[in-house]
Amino acid sequence: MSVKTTRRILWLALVVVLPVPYWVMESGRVPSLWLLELTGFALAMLMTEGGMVPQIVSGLFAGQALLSVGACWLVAWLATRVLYSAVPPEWQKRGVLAAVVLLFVSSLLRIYATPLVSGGSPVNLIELFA
Amino acid sequence: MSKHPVLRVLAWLAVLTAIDAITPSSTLRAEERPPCEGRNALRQPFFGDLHVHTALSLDASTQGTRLRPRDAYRFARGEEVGIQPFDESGNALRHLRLDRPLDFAAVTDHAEFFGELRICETPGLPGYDSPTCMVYRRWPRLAFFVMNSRVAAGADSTRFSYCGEGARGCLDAARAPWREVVDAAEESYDRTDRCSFTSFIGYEWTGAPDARNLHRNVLFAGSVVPDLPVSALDATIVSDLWRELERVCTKEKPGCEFLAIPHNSNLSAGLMFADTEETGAPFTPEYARLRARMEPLVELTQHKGDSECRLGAGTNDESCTFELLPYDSFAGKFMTSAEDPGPTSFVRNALKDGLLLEERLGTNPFQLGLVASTDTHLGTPGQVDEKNHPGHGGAGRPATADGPIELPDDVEFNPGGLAVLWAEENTRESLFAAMRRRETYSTSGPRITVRFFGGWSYPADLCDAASFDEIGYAGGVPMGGTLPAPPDAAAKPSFAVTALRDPGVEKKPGAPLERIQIVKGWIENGETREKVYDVATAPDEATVDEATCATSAGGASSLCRVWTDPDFDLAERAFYYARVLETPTCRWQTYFCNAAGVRCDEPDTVPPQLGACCDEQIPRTIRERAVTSPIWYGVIARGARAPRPARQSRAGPHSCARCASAARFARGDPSLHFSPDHVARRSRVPKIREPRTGGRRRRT
Repeated sequence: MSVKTTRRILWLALVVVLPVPYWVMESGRVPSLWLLELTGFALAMLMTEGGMVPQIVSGLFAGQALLSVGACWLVAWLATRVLYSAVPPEWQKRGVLAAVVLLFVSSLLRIYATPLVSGGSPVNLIELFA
Repeated sequence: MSKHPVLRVLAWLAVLTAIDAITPSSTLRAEERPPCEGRNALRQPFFGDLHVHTALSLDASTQGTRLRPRDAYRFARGEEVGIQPFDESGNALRHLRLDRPLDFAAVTDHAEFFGELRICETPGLPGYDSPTCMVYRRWPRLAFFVMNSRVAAGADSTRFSYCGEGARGCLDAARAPWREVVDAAEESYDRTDRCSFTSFIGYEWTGAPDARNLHRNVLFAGSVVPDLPVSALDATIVSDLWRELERVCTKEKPGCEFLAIPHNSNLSAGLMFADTEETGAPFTPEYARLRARMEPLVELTQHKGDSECRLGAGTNDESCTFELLPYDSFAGKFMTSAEDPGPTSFVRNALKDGLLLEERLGTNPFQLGLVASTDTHLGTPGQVDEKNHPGHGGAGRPATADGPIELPDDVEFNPGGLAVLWAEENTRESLFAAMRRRETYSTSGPRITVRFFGGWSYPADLCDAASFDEIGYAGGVPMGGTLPAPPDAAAKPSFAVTALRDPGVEKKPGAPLERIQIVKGWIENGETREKVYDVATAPDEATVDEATCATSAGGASSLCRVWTDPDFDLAERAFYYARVLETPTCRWQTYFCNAAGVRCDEPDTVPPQLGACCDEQIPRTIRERAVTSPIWYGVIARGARAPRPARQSRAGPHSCARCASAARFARGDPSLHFSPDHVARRSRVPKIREPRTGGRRRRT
């Protein structure tokens, strides 16, 4: 597996799973993918309805979604570097796989929270997207 | 048709009955009903809630409220209901029931998105698949912020594009929820002679330009109502609301009558009682007359704070620290450096400014009686218990099913209050008339009973008389009225006020009373003034232990006083209202935090989500209160002529200012005229047509 592929896999996993803080009127911690999904809907609403508040809301979501996606890329880049410098080549593939599994298993714990879902109670990834 | 006269009459009766049967309920005539068994010609206090939201309101449904108007009325009548959060099977995880049923209530859902929400919730309706509706179904709380912003655009408010051409889709869709509101009120109204409960048809107009609150609750007198409510998307400024309501109600529907009740002036950033319209246009005499006619009442206190007065904003009254919000508009809640509300955000200042405006415009646009309500967004009218505050939603905190224990509401909010109406019986007609004549008062929750009369010659020992109320009416006017012309230029008004503590229920007795105050506002040399008089005080003070909420002995079960204004000047327009304070008790968050084991002096006991328990800006104890509608002096009707005084001034040489006023009064100076209407009001004593049975006369 190439460094680039490893980095992309980790990056995607982090985008889907890694909780990042956000603030739009209220604060929470959610994965970047959720922010991207919300950004999409907010932009669609802005395009159909217009208005200052949809503009602000979609702008805030879009900005923070992009920032968090970028942060995930940075983490993936660092993790890949560590993996390829510290782990013997025959263990690298397993290491990537283990990291991805670990991320997704941890996403089944209630590590996310946003006032927009379940009144702000902690939820897991499935509950967040349900 | 038969020529036989009897048969002809019968035939006509049959035709009329048929017409009556096919007439929709919204166009029925004023109804006939049996008199109430507990009718009291000298009036009795009825406790209720005139500000209630259910799942039909955007800001309630998006916070998980499922109760609908019929459920809200069931709750008001004393039944148990389940409220959010719900488990996966849809079972409510919290249940509520009032200790004492209410006498009346009005469900006042936001009219703005009746149709929009129905479209978003009904598959198959055009617009159901719009992005806005998808957001509403998927992330309701986000939809609340975005959709609600539509009404913050003031005069530029527009409908959503998914409403279709001319908003026909949303207007058509709004008919079903409005019908539900109307039918729920109609079904819940007790038309038997028991008169146990009255429901009013109503709704909330939700105009808030730039997030500055100008909301009004619109209440209809009876069953005759417009086909659709006039929302802030139809009439974007307040005066348009009144004019449009006059068109669709008063003019187009014979028998349709309404009034509007503004609320939360504390969140209006000074706009509610400014001396200009929200468009910046200065008040005109026509506007002042219209406003005075449309809005006889104001909601003084509710879930989102108290609007009587604020220490430092036009007053140095130390009791003006009650349930104040630390921001002055809806937007301020989300800002780190929000403005403190200014003087024109508060009712007392409006009452004072109204005296000045009357001099300029000929009509007092702020001649306001007082009520309070909850503004619950859970569909639970009258849920005012500090010991069991569920959080009323709305702009507050959504309920959660899981996670650590946290406060059920934003700590600056409160359980809200009740409206009290002095009426002959518990019917729509009698209660609406009480609202029209402002014989009302507000309480911050407890069912304190207060009577307040103003006249010129109440006996000093009136408190000992068995017929306090009879003499009160015969010798003057009740709360909400205007003093009749003084009998002579040296007369001073006297005020008779009596208060009884809330008896509560066996397990939760009400708190004793601490004092009665009379608040006076007047004009002096063209400027407004105010003064607070302590007129009756309990002999012993009571205290409350914040750690346990236990109260010490002290306070009084009742207080009464006949008080004469020592500083009265005939030439000064003035108003007087009574404020009754209870002894201190714990505020809702203190009960909650104590039960959660929080001890603010022991940081280990304060989990992060309960940090607000120890917020030093929020008082841990309160003095619950009742505040009566004012009694006005010298309010002049346009073009009115003064009656000649019965006698010349008897004022002594020590009161030269009074001499001058008396001389002007005697000469018929137009600035001191009293309207014949006000003289007539003095004789507007309720006629005693039937013996007092005492059936419904409680607490006296």
